[in-house]
Amino acid sequence: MNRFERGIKESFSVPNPIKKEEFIKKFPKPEMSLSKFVISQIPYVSKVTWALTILMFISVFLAPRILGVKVTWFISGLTPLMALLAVSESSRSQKYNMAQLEASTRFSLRSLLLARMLLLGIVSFVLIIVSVPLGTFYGSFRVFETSLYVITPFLLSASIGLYIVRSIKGNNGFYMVSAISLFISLIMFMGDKYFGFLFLSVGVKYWLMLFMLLLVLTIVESKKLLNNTEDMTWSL
Amino acid sequence: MNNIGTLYRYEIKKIVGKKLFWIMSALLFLLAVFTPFSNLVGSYYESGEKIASNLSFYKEEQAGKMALSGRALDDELFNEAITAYSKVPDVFNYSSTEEYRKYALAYNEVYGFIRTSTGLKFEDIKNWDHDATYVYEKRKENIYLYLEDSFLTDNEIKFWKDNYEKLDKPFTYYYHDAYQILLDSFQTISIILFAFVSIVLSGVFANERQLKTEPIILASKKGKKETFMAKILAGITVSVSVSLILSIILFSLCLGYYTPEGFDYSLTVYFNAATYDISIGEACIIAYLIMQIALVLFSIFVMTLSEVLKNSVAALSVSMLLVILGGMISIPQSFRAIGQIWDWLPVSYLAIWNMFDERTFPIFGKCILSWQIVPIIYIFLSLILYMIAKYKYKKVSVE
Amino acid sequence: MELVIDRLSKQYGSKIAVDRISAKLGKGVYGLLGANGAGKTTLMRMICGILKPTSGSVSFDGIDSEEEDFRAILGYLPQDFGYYPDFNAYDFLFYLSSLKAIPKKEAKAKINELLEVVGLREVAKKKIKTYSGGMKQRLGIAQALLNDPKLLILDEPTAGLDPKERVRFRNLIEKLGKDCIVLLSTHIVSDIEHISDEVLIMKDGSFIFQGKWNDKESSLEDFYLSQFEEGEDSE
Repeated sequence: MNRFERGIKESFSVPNPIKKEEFIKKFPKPEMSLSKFVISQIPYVSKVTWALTILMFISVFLAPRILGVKVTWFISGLTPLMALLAVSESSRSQKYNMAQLEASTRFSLRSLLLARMLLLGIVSFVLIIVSVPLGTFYGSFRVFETSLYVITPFLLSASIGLYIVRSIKGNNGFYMVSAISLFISLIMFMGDKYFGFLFLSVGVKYWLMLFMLLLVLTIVESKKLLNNTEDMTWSL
Repeated sequence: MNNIGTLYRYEIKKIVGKKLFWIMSALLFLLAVFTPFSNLVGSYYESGEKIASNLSFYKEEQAGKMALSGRALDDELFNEAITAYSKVPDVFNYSSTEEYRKYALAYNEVYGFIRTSTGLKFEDIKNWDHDATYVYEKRKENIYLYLEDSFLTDNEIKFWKDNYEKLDKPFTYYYHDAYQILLDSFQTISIILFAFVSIVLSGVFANERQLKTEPIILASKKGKKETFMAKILAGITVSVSVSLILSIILFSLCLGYYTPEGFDYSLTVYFNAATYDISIGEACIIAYLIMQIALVLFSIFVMTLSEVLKNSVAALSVSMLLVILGGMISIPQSFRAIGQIWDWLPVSYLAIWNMFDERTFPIFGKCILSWQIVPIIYIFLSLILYMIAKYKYKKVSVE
Repeated sequence: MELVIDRLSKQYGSKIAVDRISAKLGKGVYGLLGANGAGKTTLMRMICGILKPTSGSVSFDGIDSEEEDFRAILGYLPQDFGYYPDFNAYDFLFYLSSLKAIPKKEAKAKINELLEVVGLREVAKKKIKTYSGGMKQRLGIAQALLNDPKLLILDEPTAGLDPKERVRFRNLIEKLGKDCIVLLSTHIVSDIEHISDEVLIMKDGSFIFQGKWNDKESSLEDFYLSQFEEGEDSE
């Protein structure tokens, strides 16, 4: 502010505003589109989740150099952990008793859940899209088999996890989801050494059937979780 | 004592009352029931054509092997095996030919013995003109070479060579499928059991904080020392009981279906590196007994984590990570000390190639075998961990 | 029978949660009042020996709060306590009886008696996870009384109880206060208005009032509020 502006300010008193609130209310409230809402949720996804996701991406890129042909099992062991992160983020409202507050906001709990599931679903999808070619190139299976071995454990972990968080509230449910996802990861990490019979070429058709079944189950459970938001606010 | 008994029973109830316990137990038992028969399921295919069911294939093989059981691995048996294999066409997939099934199938383990001892390739069978003395000499030569390349001390190399000399030769062949399956599935079963313990015991202490029952427990007369003991005992009871039941089921199924024959089969014939006088049956018993002791140590470790971290998911993640790393990582033998320590950790040790390998524990110039010393180390470590956890729990508060 | 609190303090970093509190409590009912964050729960936890004080000590008839014998005479109801979802009321109380070293036979009789007193006899075999908030609170009260405690510490015991249950509870506490030391913290002034022998008002980790109040001069609520106003004036 220069000395003239200062001089004018000192010389003249500004009249008190009249009908200030009514005037401000005339301005249209800024609206938020659904896509903007989804993007706005990015910083509200837990930092630990983002950190672990980044770590997973780094591991996927480094794995071929370190593990060579065993990279397929490593990647297929990572994807259930990605599903665990996605499911646990989706159930945060329940876990921290925020469901009632979130249910009463403009973007309802249902939209919030959808936004979180979309966000982490997209990230998981990117991880899988990146992993499959790497797994195929460095591993010992063809594209089709690698895709099945990478995606199926993800869907298994996701479908079971979504069912559990819907049925069992609180820390108990979260623990069960963690335990089951870690167990699936363990089976896949150890796949070549101890569970080789699961990866024989004769078994591919069973993997395909399991994949289709789990894809349907994951979609059904996701829908049920979204429709179940009313139940989350029931505090008993 | 009455109160500790009641506390102990309630702690067990807390562990087994969870759905996850029953889900994991069911998975374990399914695995135990499926494992002995996993090779018999399905069919054998060649170029998309079904050749035979695995079961019928196995039945033929079993009959053949049983007919040879009890015979010495000597000139007569070797010549029979070579003659049988000579009738098999020299093609890439020779093991799927009719001739193989008809003549050679029963002799596959005898042929395997010759092959691992002498390096004989299938295509050179028709030119074989050696005898049993040659086979045993070559075997000895290869084993001695292996010992010298295994980064062992001079004392250890001498120890193993002396042991090998003491073994009665020629070895006797026995049909031993029951014990082979028990040993082959040993590490898989162990890994799943460790995962089971991680999942079931990670919340033993942490759950009290998460469920908000900790203040009431700590404010009770028996809320510290006795509660701690009851929890530890309950955790150990659950893990060892499940493991014992699993082992009994596995032994019963294997010995029941495949017969107990072959108990006295020399382990060194099955596993070259084990050049000492122990049978495959004894090895099975030792392995599964050590598994129980390892589980006690791992259970106390998981419960200690649960107490220290005060978070069941954190305890679960750390212990499962160790199980995964133990199964995935192997340290080269050239790093003798670190490699031995790593391979002797419970998460890595429960594997035949670690339990019966050639690395020993030297005490006053004597070489103590790993399976003789490791259980003692585990018991000692269990006591140390117990003391640490007890000390930690004594100082616990609701902060 | 005397509970001695000697210069008890608890500090978390730079925040002093409890600031050199001293008191000698004999038989009777003591109402502990204070705003949220005054330090009531922290104080009660230290008295129970489940939270280590930064300094100071607590003893009952010469027995230090860290000793097993202290916990033998203690009954404690935390403000926010949990339960094992798969346990029923019998299981829960039997389990706590064993924690309190009560022999089985005696425990059985005591549990039946207490379930009757708190009105949970009919639902005793149902799993706790099916109970309402008030039922869980009543179960909590029952477990605090299992070992006939000489020192009863109750942190917001009437939370979740309906008016009728609160009256029952008040009568029970009044009766208990004749034979033991009862320290009861609450936001509901009427809970202690007519049954407390002494009132302890806590603010910012210290007692700003400790003593009897004259119910003829004003209601306890007015008296309680006036203590805060006096405190603010002196600042």
